[in-house]
Amino acid sequence: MIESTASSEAHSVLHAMTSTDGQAPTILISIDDLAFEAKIDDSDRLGVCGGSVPQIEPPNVLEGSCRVPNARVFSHVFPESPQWLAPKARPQNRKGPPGRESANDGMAPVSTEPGSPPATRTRIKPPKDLLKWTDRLYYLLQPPLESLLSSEVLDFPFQPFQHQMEGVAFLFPRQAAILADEMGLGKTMQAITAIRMLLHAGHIRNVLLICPKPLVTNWQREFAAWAPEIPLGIVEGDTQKRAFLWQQQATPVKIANYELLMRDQSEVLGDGRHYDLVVLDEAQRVKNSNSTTAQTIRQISRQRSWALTGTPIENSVNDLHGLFEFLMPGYLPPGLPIEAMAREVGDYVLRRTKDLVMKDMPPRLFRDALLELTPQQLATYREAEETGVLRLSDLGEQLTIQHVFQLVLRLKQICNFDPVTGASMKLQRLEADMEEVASSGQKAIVFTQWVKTIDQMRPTLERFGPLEYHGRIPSKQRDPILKQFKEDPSRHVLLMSYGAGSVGLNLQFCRYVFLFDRWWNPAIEDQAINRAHRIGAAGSVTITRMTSEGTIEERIHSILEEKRQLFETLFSATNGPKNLNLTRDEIFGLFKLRAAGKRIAA
Amino acid sequence: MNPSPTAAPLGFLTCTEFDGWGLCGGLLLLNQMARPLEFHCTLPVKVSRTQIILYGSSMRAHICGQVIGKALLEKAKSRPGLVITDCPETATMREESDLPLALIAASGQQSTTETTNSGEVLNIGRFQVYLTLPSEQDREPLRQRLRRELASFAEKFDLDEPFERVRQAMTEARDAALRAA
Repeated sequence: MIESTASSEAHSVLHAMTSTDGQAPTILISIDDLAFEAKIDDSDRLGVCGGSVPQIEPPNVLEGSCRVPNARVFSHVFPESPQWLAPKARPQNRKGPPGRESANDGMAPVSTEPGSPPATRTRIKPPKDLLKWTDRLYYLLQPPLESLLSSEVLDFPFQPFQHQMEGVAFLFPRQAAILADEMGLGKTMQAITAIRMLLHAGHIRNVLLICPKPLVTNWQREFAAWAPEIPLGIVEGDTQKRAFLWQQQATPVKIANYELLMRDQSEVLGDGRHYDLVVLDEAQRVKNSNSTTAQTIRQISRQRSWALTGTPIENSVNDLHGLFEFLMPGYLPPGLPIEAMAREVGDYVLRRTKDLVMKDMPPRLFRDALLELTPQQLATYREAEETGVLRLSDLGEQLTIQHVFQLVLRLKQICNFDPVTGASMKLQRLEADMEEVASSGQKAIVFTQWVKTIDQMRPTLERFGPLEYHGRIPSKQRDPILKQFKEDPSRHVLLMSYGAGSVGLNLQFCRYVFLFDRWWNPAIEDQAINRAHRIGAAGSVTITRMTSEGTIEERIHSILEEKRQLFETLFSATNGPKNLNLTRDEIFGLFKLRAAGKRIAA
Repeated sequence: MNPSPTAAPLGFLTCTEFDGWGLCGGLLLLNQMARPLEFHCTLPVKVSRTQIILYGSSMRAHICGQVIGKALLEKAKSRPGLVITDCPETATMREESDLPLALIAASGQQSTTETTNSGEVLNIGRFQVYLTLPSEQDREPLRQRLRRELASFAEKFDLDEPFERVRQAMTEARDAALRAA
């Protein structure tokens, strides 16, 4: 028992006895002047009485409790703690991603020194559309992702980078998500790790991953590296085999390609088929929500939908509408003002650029090779252009965008090779540059729009051991070609078409990229460049953009450069690009022709 | 040293005062892999002016320890093997609790161990841990076990990390309540 004196704020001296023995404290108040805030009725106020008999009556004592009320408690008991049962398949010799040891790329892998807690804490944040507080609690109260590393429960072949951990934390709790990192930041690893964690936590049991056909083996390799304990089912082979594979319920992750999915609609959409998660790689394939592919995929019964793409707005901001029709049909109406769109998609899209997360990554060195045409090329070009423009003018009211487009393609081909003599200033320049590349033991990728151009350049480049990777190369031969290119020191150059080689391939051992001709869309060019400039890049990557001086290529280049500046603005600015392809006006303007403004798709 | 997943849970107990809302407490029970088992938090405890006057400087300790801490532990379905707090006021409940209690504070001191009859100061990682044992127990085996468990946990996880989770959850609770009001 402690005797204490109350504050002088009370109007009179007050002696109080407070209890510290765990019982409710009791105060004994001498009532001579109670004017402080304790609630005492007038009926309780007793005065000291006097009388003729000199008897002093003891003062009445008011006994009251000033116990602090009990705290009201909200309780939540987790049904069960997620079980992390991944086998430790590898010894704990984690290191940075391949190539990192030799490169001062400045990225910061997650620190997991043995015997000490991780230095960073990446938390899983519940998405905004998760409203129930107990559901949100589940995510809020999970340990940081780094603790999975430090506790050695889930084994990783390499230490993930901080932005990758944040990507996993973004995907893990989301029913609908677009991971739109710039190419080369490791979207595949982030998706695999999030899938792995969800499988081990028991939140999902069957996953369908859909990717372009050439990337199936890439996904297999990445799963083998980042989640070796997860059995994969690769849907391939003849109809009978595929039907069998679709029916396998025990395989937690199935990988199918877009093309095959269209043939197997009855299987993938069949009765009772349901997936806890459907992941679309290179999800721009469904940007056109009216396409058969998009319509088929939208019908797949599923709980969670994730989209992976480096180019969420490949052509226009309306591409996002197509992606959201897969994620959350009806959520994002088409034609929404860009400010409203940015607001609506904010919690569902995660996009990081290399500039943002890897400030010290080896630089991309752009080298614009503005080349004069050879005399033969120039003569052919001038004739083709003059004749072509004349024809276009003669068409008058019948002139269409297709007519202009055909002329552009024709002129671009002449810029590559003179169709009569085979002369090519670009090839001369490439040959000279390749001498330097090969003599320094380096490797280069050459991108072009046409397989025919690859055929034309191959003889001249023969001494550099050229390999080819394009639409005419059968799928089964593609991986061995990439392997040979990587491992055979006599193979210095890989000739690729934009279509086959611009997505999903890891060629970070290459220090040189040549854009023999230019694509219509800067996003596609970026994808191509990022085959080499990605995590693990061995050093700076030099990109040579070949443009023929005074030609249609130079005019297109100027327009595309302006658009490139606008490409990333959707998620950071209010005045984003409406269109990344050339508009109808821009196409016609290439030849100073006049047309009503209507956009075309490249 | 791998933590045993079957060991008694660790209770992380803390109190936070939200401006204009009052003192709240949260208790997070974790297994040795730092995964959540139970979470309990209080609504804000509001005190009257009279109570502030009468309790004087002992008010905050009384609320955090005897009111909030006690209420939270009473609600726990599992009995924690050790209650860890980063709140000195909450630690005052050690006098009444029959549970071992550890008060942690960041420390840059060299590793030292001071043992008294009822408690000891441990330097674990970057934390100074004041460990208090219940009074009516055979202290030494318990002391040894708790030291092992604390060290094992601290090898993998920062001792102050779970309090971030508790505060984040309490903040969400506060925000939800304010939105609903």
